[in-house]
Amino acid sequence: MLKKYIYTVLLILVGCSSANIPVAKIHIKGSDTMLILTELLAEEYMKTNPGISIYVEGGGSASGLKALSRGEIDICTASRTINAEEIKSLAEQFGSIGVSYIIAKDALSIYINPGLGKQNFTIEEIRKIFSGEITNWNYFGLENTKIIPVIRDINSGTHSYFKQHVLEGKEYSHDAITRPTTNSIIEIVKENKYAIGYGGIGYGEDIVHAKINGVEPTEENVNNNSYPISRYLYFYTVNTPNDNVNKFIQWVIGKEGQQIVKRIGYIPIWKSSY
Amino acid sequence: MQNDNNVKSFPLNKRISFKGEFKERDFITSNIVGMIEGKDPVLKDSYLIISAHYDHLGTGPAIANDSIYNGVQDNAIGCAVLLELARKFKKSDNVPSRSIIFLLLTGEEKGLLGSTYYTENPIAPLYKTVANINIDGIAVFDKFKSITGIGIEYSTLAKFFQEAANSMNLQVKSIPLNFEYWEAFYKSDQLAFAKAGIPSVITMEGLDYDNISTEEGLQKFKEYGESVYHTPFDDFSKSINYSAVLEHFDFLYRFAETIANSHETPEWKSGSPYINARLRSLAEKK
Repeated sequence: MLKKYIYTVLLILVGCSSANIPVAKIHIKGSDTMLILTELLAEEYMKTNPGISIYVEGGGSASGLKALSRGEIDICTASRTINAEEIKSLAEQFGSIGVSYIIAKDALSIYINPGLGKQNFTIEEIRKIFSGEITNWNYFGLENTKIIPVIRDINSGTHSYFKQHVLEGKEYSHDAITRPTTNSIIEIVKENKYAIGYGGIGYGEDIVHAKINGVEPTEENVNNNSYPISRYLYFYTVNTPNDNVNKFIQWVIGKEGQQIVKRIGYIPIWKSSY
Repeated sequence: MQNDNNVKSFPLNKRISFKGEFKERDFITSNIVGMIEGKDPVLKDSYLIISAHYDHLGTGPAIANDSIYNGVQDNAIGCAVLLELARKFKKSDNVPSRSIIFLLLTGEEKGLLGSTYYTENPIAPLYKTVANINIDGIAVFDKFKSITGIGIEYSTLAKFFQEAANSMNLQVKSIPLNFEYWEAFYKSDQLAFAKAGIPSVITMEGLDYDNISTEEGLQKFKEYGESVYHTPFDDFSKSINYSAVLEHFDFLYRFAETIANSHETPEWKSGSPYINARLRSLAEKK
């Protein structure tokens, strides 16, 4: 009897223990481009939601979608739409074609020094500059001076995005200077009249964001799709997500999440004063 | 190789094959840990880790008929300083409010193995561990007028660091441009603690010395890097300026004391690469 009593008391104690308060873990994996954004969204959400523990991993959109189809994660981040093969894989595994959420729009500016004497480029010209086919500013009727392309490091999603979408898969110029952050690219362009770099459209003072095909990189032009170097960023889930995951996604596409989207240089999905 | 020391990738139009034999060897090695319990009834349940790795390379390829890699500066000297810090904090007048864990780590040279193991098997919960001061090398060239905290910009440890520096009239300087920043923070055990969410830092003297010029100091670092670091010659034949060691020790003591006696808990700054590990550890209470 005593044993039974002790056992009951133990059960009650264990049941009441604060250690047993469930911690909700959310696992996110995917786009390297979106890694910093997702890390920051996770940070702000965890700060205001104690008991929620969010794990964020990069690896690329493809690896995120694979992890989603293996049931390893709750959310896949992707800087492209899911392809037919990936949809098939989800359908075979879960009988679902997945649920997508647009969470932001991404656009890259071409940064140039205000003293350069040219502020408009075609996409073809940009491709040739960064791939090393055009190496001297005299190609554009400017001074006979070597062009200094400044690019992001190979681990950056921006490096990959630019290579894939602007260089169309071509290698970067061997003369390009590599820098680890957008700010350090801006610093070089600011200090050197002959440097040209790239980064988010929300960054950079004392430099010029060049027009591409005559279109300025503004939020408005990105939203009306006239600015060419832009794309949507997505979250994918297998099905309608559980309560905790759903609350996080709703927060991301809501006011607070979109303020963070804007703060780090992406474009919010809603036209508002975020 | 570019000027910024990054290797650029480029296609190789050659095939390279390599045949070799690899021997694996299992062995057991230990971290060594001691703790001074804090005197404040509440704050003693929070912990500052002072760490130094005690392993070096053992024996290796002989250079000038010497195959014993001694590791005096990397990191026997750091271990000696850690033990001396423990002795000083243990004196009853100096026992701080928070508890201090003194951690001699193994396997640093093999990839931060001891510190990584500790973060997976801590003796006190990680979320209650407020900071890590890692010691890997000590100032040995000359007494100095400035001090550098590698990693302080990521967290509010910068404030404690500045306070300690002020108490010794030392200027706080950023890591000299001549040093590769990322390597500096990534190269020792402070990285494992940072990855586990614990605000961490490693300190070094600035390049402003009492008796030698900045250029001479840089030259000494260069010589150490090229001819002494990870060679059998990191031994007692190299001169050690004990006044410089004492000054660095004094700074570390004051820095640790500032953290361990403060009611303010160091925190990662927003956007730091390690803040989410901290928030997860707080959420999961681990």
